[in-house]
Amino acid sequence: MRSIRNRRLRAVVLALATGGAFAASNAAAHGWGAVIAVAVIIIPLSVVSYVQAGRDSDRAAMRLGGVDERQALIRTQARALAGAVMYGAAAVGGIVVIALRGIGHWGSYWPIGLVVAVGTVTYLWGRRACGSSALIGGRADERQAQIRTRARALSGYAMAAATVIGVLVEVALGDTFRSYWPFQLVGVAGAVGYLAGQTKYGAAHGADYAPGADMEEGAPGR
Amino acid sequence: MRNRVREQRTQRGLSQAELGAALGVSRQTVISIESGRYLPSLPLAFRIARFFDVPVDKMFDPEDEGTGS
Repeated sequence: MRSIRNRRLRAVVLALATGGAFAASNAAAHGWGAVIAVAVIIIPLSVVSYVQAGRDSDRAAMRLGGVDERQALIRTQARALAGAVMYGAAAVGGIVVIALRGIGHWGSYWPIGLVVAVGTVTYLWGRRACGSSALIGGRADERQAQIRTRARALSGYAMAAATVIGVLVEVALGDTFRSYWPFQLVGVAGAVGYLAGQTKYGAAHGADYAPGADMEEGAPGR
Repeated sequence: MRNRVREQRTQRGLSQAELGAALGVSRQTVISIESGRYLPSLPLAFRIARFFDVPVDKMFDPEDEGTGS
């Protein structure tokens, strides 16, 4: 497992890299003044990431690497759930936009179309790559269920990447919040789905996982 | 599926963190296995059995559908 120092370093680098990407896209559209606004958010976020990375928790391991087999399984299941939630949010968002503006306004819902297309293609590709192109719904055995979960997780990961890149491009082009709300809808849905998945599939955060939980009779070795 | 991980660990006076370090898994995963919330993969089940020098079918009992020991 990675040391706490490596985890903390990785957390700070991740936070700064993400913040740097948003700062650069903001600078392209709004000048260097916008970079200061982003820095005000990113610097405290880096400090929080540094502190959280030092915690002995499943969530820290899943976010920053060094996972064991159970944590890897929870992460895959959580990504699969996030993918399904993002796909559902994109579909609902697309239906609402079409209902409000009609089918002809591609400019209103192309982000949703992009996310759905990326999700669909990567899901189908993931199933083929993981070993089953024939599995379509229905009852799945243990291996088939595993393939489906991994394909959904891959799809979720790809949709999240498409969403982040979409927001960065929209911000760099100087578009307003109203023009890229579909990306934000899908992004928020994905984040909520991922966190809910971590909890649903057993990421440790309860009192029974706290240090000292193994202090039962006969376990003096702490 | 019942298992005897906690029983074996406490007999040897090991903490969950120490057992996790020996097996290459997190403390939280040891807790989950002991409580029956997580069924380890075959390679990990064999690692656990070998670590305690107990046959794997004695360490994990599929006949008993209760939780961990």
